[in-house]
Amino acid sequence: MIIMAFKDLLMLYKKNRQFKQRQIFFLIIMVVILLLSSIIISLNDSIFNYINNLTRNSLDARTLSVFPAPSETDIEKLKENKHILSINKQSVTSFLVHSDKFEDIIIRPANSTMFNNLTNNSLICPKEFVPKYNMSEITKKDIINGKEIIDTNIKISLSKKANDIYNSYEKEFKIVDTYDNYKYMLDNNVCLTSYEDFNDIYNFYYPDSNSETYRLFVDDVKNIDEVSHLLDDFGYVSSPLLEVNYASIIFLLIITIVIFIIFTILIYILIKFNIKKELNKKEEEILLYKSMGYEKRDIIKIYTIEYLVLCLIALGITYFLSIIILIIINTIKSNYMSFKMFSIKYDFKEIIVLFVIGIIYPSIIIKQKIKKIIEKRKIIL
Amino acid sequence: MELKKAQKSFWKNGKEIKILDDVNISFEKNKFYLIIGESGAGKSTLINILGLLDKLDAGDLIISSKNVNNLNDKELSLMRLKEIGLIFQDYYLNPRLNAKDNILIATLINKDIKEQREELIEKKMAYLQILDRKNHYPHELSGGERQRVCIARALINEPNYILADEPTGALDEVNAKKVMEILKKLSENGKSVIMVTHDYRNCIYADEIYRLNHGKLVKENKNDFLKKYS
Ligand SMILES: Nc1ncnc2c1ncn2[C@@H]1O[C@H](COP(=O)(O)OP(=O)(O)OP(=O)(O)O)[C@@H](O)[C@H]1O
Ligand SMILES: [Mg+2]
Repeated sequence: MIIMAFKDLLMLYKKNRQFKQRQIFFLIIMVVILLLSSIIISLNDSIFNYINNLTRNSLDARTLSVFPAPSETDIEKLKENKHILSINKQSVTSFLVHSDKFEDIIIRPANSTMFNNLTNNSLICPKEFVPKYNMSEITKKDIINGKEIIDTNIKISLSKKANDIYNSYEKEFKIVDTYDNYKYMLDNNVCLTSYEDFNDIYNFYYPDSNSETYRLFVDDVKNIDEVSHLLDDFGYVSSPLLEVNYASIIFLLIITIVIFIIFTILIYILIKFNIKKELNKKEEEILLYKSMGYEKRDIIKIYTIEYLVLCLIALGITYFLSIIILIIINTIKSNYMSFKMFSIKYDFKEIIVLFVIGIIYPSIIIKQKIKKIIEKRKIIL
Repeated sequence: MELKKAQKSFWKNGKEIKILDDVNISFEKNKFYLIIGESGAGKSTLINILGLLDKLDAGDLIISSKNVNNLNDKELSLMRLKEIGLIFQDYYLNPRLNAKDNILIATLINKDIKEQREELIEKKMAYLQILDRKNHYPHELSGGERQRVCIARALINEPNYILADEPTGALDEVNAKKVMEILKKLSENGKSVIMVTHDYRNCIYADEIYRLNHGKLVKENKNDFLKKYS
């Protein structure tokens, strides 16, 4: 059989290779295509992540406020539902408190689904901790690395005015862990406590509360409706703290997917156009190989190597460029906390897509085109 | 190599151009065949068919007692490698490779001569008097030298059939004569040389002369030809 030895294939490539205008042009096109792809994938990814967080992890979207106050028996019955994680008598979900070591902190009860064995007098603070009340104007230098303050003891205080007298509440807490607040769609100043600790503060603030409002915590956003209906049947009115607009989310998802598909097709066409143009110029050369007795797959190999080397260089350049772009984006982003919800990163998924665009696409196109040229048969006219 | 009831035609603007119309011919070893035809008669098409680059519409092409119609792609490639050497008017040399490497590419798929290919290339180049040009690139070679590189490439796998399409078309008289003498010598040393041309002056080298006209291949009397054109 006439199969070309790999050694000979490489030797031929080395002798035959060129790095002139045309190759550089091809390289630049590939880098542009790959960079665009990586940006599109990152954006798509961020949008998916954001939606995922919003629908799956957001605490407020999973919390229903229930009115009027359910009776003890109803509470017991409701608790039997597997989607209902807890029912608490609370009109508020959070308190703004001061601390001795930091400025203002917002205290929220951690749910058992998030952190189960949270003991009393412990706090869990964000990985990127910003202990300030006003989050709108914070900059990068306001961020405290949560890891560094683990095991710190802080004293929180809260005061309230009743009958013209200020009462204050003080308590020692120990920061025991950090959490990813972006994942739960919480601000960077929110620390989590146990329910007992939270109720302690609550009882201080509302000592003789006959609040009619209860907070009910659901396991998943998708079960909110079901639980709402159940409450309807019991005769209670309920509404989520954060209303998720599913119509617009689905719209956003469809748009993202459509853009991604159109983009992939466009890129395929663009690469195809370029490689076709290049190979058309080499038609005589390709047919000459055929006339000498080269098999189709040998000819395909010869040209695939030629372009794959360029594609690999393009992938390398793209990789470095995107790392630089990423660093720049992240530096800018970290100055604007509102963008924090969008995580832009370069992970395995992106590398796979870039591999498909940079290696698989060109290989398929070269194979198709060479087959087409070889079928033409003619060499001399 | 034999054509049996060979049919080939092209369609152009709704009109049929007959290239081969019921052509029967056998090409023997040790002979130099010259096929004369006007421009557009189908000479190049005939070379493409004999060189296994184009296919007959009907009829058979038999090479080394194998019917080409029955061969698959792989067997066709092997036959192109072992049986056929092509020489072109425009040489088709790879401008990025030097003379020696242009010949080398024809050997990369030939397992039988893997060990001695370098040696064989040098021998062939010496025989064609281009060995001192082995490191030169096509643009550094004269037309005659380029054609001899092309011939060396066609010969390197020792094929039985040498097919030449207007090999002297781009050459001056001195170089044309050199090429014709090389082809003549090949035909005397066991090869079957088939050359197509429109240039009657090449007739003196041929053993047999045919004229391709309107799809018919008609044998001409060599002596009459020589009288007419010398
Ligand atoms: N693939 C094709 N499709 C259609 N017509 C073709 C094709 N190839 C060749 N022809 C036509 O067939 C005829 C013969 O072409 P060919 O190239 O074989 O002629 P030729 O004898 O080699 O001419 P020349 O001396 O000019 O090289 C021409 O009219 C040409 O236009
Ligand atoms: Mg021709």
